[in-house]
This record gives sequence, structure tokens and C-alpha cells, in this order.
Amino acid sequence: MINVKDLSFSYGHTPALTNVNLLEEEPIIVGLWGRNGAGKTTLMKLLSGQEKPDTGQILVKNLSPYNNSDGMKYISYLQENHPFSEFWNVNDALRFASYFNENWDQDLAEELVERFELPRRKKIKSFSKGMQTMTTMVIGLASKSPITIMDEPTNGLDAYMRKVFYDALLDTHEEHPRLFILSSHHIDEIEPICEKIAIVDKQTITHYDETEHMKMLGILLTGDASSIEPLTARSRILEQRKLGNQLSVMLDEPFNEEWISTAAQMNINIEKAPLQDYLVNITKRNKEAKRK
Amino acid sequence: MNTFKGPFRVIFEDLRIQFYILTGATVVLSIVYLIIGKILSSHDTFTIGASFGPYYSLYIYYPFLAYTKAYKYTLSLGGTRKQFLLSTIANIGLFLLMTTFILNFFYYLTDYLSNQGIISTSLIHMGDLVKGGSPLLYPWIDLLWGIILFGIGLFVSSFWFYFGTVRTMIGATFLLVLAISYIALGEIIPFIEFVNNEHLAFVHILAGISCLLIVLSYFIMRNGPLERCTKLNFSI
Repeated sequence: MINVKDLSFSYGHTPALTNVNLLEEEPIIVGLWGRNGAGKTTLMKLLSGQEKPDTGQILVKNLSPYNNSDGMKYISYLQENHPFSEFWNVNDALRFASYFNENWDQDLAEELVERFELPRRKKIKSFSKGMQTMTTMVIGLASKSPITIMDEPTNGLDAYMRKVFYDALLDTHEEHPRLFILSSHHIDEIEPICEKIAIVDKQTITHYDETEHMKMLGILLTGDASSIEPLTARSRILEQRKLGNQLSVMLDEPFNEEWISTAAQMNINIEKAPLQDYLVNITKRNKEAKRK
Repeated sequence: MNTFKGPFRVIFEDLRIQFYILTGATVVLSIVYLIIGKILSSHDTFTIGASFGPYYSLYIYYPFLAYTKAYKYTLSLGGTRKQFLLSTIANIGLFLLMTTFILNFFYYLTDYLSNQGIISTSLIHMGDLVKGGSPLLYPWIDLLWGIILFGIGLFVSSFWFYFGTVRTMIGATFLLVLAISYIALGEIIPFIEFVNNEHLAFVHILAGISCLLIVLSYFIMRNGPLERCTKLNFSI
């Protein structure tokens, strides 16, 4: 479905993405996580044909999407602050979106407008941030594009509407499987529905793996410093806090039986590190790491 | 589904709103001219004004408006730059035909009422500068001026969007200096004579140049940036 090979892109002389590779053949839900400035938005713009790669290639269903209307038929990209005309209401936005998407499902669009409780005749520009996001997400889900990319899909939504959105996404994905790429700063929110997670860091994709595997990475050891220090010698320490004789460390290791039994033998408390904390630590920049 | 439909409809709806506003202005202006012509009814017919101003201004400013609004909507909904440019050109062509019809309807109406002695005014038409007897000459001249103005508007706005305001101003200053130098130092009389005596040929040449500017704009913006250039660095 998507095949990215040795992709690089710069804004002027500033590199935004370098040597990115990504291959996904299955219609699954993928989480895209990265810190500010990591290159997530640029990657999404390139995947959706809005920008042209400097080097390398992007193939969507074996077609390059950039300036290619045949390739663009397969992709929908819903931006975080999606631009809508000041003259458009929800009905107008849905009508225009339907002209661009050959798989457009008007019944689903109508149903989602009801579920999100969107006023149909009010101008979108007068909507709150959350309502604008909901309008964008209705378009994304109803487009039924084989590849649907959503940037911060729950930005501005309250807890109830987030649940409505995720339920709707899972329903439509089950009924009509397609590749969803959901970008978010909050991995804990999207991780339960994603089959795979891509980590964008230092202008490239550093990890692309099954969510189940990613969730098992990162362990927290807490206990007597003299017991923990020998265990950390061969591991990458992601975070460390010391209080008197007590030491708490996060290691870049899988949470497995081997570590659990080792910790038990040494009388050390072991926990799985929260995924968000683990990702923040592995993507720490040099200056931040030194500051710690 | 025809993938051109989306971009075409985005531009069409955007332009339709402009068309309604400017048609309103043109109709009001034309009716005011007719009323004045009736009130000031006399044996001598006099030229009161022009009604093409609102529509002619649309061809100049619409490309700027399109780059700041419809361009974003088209690309964000899944259109391409090429589709945006082609649908802008196609829509302008369509609206050019409609506006030419409306303008000339009022022109011929005013002319008819004046010939019948009901009013004593006539409208300025760019076709008045051309010597010719064909009834299609006046609409044709309006079409040509529409192409000329749109070509200039599209080229300047494309250049401005791609290269940014500063470089556009530098380019404009350079052209202005060239023009002033030519007027001050060159032989301008033959040019003015040509414009006066061969006005139809002059308008056709301008329209031809504008068509080239439209093609050039397409090549500039088919790989244009997502947002207007705001940098001053000279690497393209």
C-alpha cells in the first residue's frame, strides 16, 4: 500500500526528513508518534502528495502521489488545522469533500454528523476548535480512502467525543478495512487501537514495529542502589533518579521473564515503563539528556 | 469519478460568489446610467461612463484571491497543483463568456434606447477604439481584454506566490525602470501610432502575450510551494 524508500526532504537548506524508509502492505491502523519538529507533519505531507521528495521515492499503490491525480485518488490527508472557506458550513464541506473522493460514503457522513452533534448550517469558521476537528474527522472517515492520514485527530475534543471518534473509526475500519495513519503526541491515547507504531525522531523513522512489541519496551527498576547498579552496566539508561540509598532507573530493555526473575532474585521492584515515558526518553535530544 | 470535478467545483463556487457581487455592481451601475440618460434626455447623445470596471477588475484580482484561498482548499481536499491551475483557467474561461454576454447586453440595450430617442447617453466600450463593422467585434474585444487582464493577474500572482513579495517588487521595479527609460530615451511615437491606428492588432498581440503568460504561470506553479514564499534567499 505504502512504500517509502530512502526519502529525504529539506525546507531550503534545513533538512526535515533524511533517509526515511517505510513499507506497509496491510490495511491496518498505524500510530505515528514524534516530538515537535521531528518531521511528522512533513512526512504526512509527502505521503499525501502535497510536497515533492528531494530524493528517494514514495509509492502509494505503486503510484507516486505528487501532482498525480491517479495516485491522489487513494489518499486522504486531514490536517490538524484543516483549511475551510469562510463561506462553508458542514453541508458544504461534505459536498466538496465528496467531489474529491470516489469512495465517499454519504450515509456514513450523515451518521457521523449526527453522532458528533455538528450544526449543519453554521459556518465552520465560527466553530470551536473541537467542532472543526470533528468536521475534519467526518470527512476523513467518510472518504473511505484506501489510505487515510489524520494529524492529531482528537485535538480539541472532550473525553466523550474522543470516545465517539475512536468508536466510529474502529467501526468503519472493521466494516471497510483500510490503512489509517494517526499522528499524535499522546501515544497512550492511540496505542490501544493501533496495530503498529512508527516513531519519527531526528528527521527519520527510527522504529516501526507491532504495538504489542513496542509496549513491552522499557523497564523501571526501583530499589537499593547497590543492587541495581550492577544490572545497569550493560544496558542503556534512559532515566535515573536517586534519593538517598534508593535508586530508580528506566532501562531500554524489554519487559520479559528474564528481567522479572533477575529483579526478583536481587529483591528489586520491576515495572513496565509507561510507553509515553519510554518514547520521550528514547527520543531525548543530547542537550536534554545532559541536563538530566 | 472524474478527479477534475473536485478542484473545478471548488474554484467554480468561489468564483460564483465573486460573480454575484460584481454582477450586482454592474447591474446597479448600468441601471444608474440608464436613469441618468432618461433624466437628462436631450437631442445630443453623450457618453456617460463604462460598466466593464467591476468585471475587468475580477480578472486581475481573482488569481491573487485564488492563491490565498482556493489553492489551500483544493490541495487539502486531495487536489493537485496542476488540477488547481487547469480548473482556475477553465473557470475563468467560463465566467469570461458569461460576463461578456452581460456587459454587451447592457451595451446593446443602452445603444438601442439611445437610437430610439428614449435616453440620450451611451456607454464607453473598449470596442469603440477599433475600426470595424462586425456585430461580434465588441464581445470579441471584451473577451480579448478579459484574457489580457487575467493573463497579467495570473502571471504576477504566480510569480509573487512562488518567489515572494520582495523579489516580485524587485522585478516590478526593474520593469518600471525599463519602461521609463524607453519613454524618456526611446522613440515612442511609432508605438503610440501603432496602438491608435492598428488597435485590433495591438489587442490581439496583447492577448497572445497574455496566453503565453498563462502558460508560463502553469509551468511556474505546477511545482509551486504549499504556502507563499516569504524568504529573501535567492536559491530557487
